[in-house]
Amino acid sequence: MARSTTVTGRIGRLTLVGYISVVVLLVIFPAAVAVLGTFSGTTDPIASLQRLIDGQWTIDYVVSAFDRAPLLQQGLNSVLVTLAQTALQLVTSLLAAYALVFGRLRRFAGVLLAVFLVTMMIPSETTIVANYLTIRSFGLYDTLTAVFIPYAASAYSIFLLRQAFLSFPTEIREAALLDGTGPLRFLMQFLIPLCRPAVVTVIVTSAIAAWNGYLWPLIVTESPESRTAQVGVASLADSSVTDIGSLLAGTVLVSLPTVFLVIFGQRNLVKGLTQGANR
Amino acid sequence: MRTIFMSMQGTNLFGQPTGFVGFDNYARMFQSSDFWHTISVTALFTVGSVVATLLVGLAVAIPLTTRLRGTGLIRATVMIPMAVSVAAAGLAFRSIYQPETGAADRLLSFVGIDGVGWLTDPAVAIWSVIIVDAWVGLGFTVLLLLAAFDGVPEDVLEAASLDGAGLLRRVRHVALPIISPTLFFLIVTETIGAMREFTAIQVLTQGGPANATHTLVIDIYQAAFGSGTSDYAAASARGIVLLLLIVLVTAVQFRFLDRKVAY
Repeated sequence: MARSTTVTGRIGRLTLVGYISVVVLLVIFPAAVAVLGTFSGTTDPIASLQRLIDGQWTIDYVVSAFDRAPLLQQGLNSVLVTLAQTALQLVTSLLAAYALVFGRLRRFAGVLLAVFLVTMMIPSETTIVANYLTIRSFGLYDTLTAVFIPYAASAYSIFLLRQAFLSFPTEIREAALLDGTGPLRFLMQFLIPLCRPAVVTVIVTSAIAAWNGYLWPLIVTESPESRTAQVGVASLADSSVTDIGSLLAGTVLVSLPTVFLVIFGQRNLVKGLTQGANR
Repeated sequence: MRTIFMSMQGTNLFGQPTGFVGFDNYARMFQSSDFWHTISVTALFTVGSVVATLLVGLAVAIPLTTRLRGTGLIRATVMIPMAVSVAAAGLAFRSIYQPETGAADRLLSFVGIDGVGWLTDPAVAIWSVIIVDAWVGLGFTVLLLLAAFDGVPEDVLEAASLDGAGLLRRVRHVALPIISPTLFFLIVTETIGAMREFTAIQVLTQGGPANATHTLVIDIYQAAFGSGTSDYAAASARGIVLLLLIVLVTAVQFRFLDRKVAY
């Protein structure tokens, strides 16, 4: 856009740069305050910076966060839940999307897709009591299985993969079939590599959702040892003496995995998500 | 299915179903003034959160569409809120909202505003929660908006600029209509998301102060799992109301907004 070199153009450019800087500062402000507070024990940004300059920063708060809640165990729980939930969701949605697009379902495929889309509309908060009672009657209450099993399949992931599979060139599929490639090999060797952005998006979004889940894990777990890290960190805030430093340390620790995931998956994520949104 | 069945059951003190009572739970719910308060809080939270997320999203995304050095890095930075969980963001903001020593009060004290009761003043608390919700939704919103703006044909913008249209007019009259499908998608998904929001409110205010942030989902949670109560039937009835509300609002949006979208 701004390609004129006149004075007004340059001033416009400077205000733009200034504006962008302010906006970016505002957006990362809460995150920056949390990171600084992890080492200084306060969210007061001025006091925080002062302590850093004076060399008064400390990792005591990180240590005490681990002392005050079984964060290590809960982090491990979160890892297990995330792995199980993501893997299950990936397998179920790959197979379902494959069946919807390439299976010989004819008119039935449309009906199935409609059913999937309708379940996408039903908020999990509506069914939460029923699901809770179901989990209790299966004797799964307060187990890790209870945390991830309701999310073994996701209509959203199925839909995202279906959209990607639909744009898959039919010639490649026909050529592969002529060569005698079975459906499973076709899925593994052609479909997944060629629809990589969508597959990566499904993995990243379901991993983030699994790691960041809060309401459901809060309801189906009770003992600190079987809770996930998100619920565990939130419990740091419940105690009567609120220790801001270790609360922030826990917050930052629990956010690191997903922040890395988004940064590394960014390129594929942009492609995959926008494919689904701009139908 | 089990939810519909549950919503028509009577319950004893321990939340055990005692038999079929038809629509009694719904009747009781609609007659209580608390319920209508809950609905109005939910509506305020939803509208506030969607408007805030979209406006801030546009304010962040539009300048980033210009090709300046470093916008790639900035784009990645702006996406960070997407990765942070609502629980973690809520906790960070809870510390920021701390009276006096928190960052919010400290910074405002420089412009002479003292002691805003971020989470204790019923008139302010709902906005404090909306800010958190908007911050968490920002990454996803900006990501989709940027992708949409990238799809706006360069020559159309150039033609507008030759006609003497400034940056703001180019955005308002040329780019926004072209990306209206994305805007529509964002409005619909963010409305549904806001109506379902639980974590931010639970972590920050638990529905307080004085029920100022008591939304429908908080109501469901407290009816079923709150301290001392386990009224699964009432919670299920509210769950059904939430579903119907979402379907209704989405249908209205499709009916009235879809016509303004230029595909």
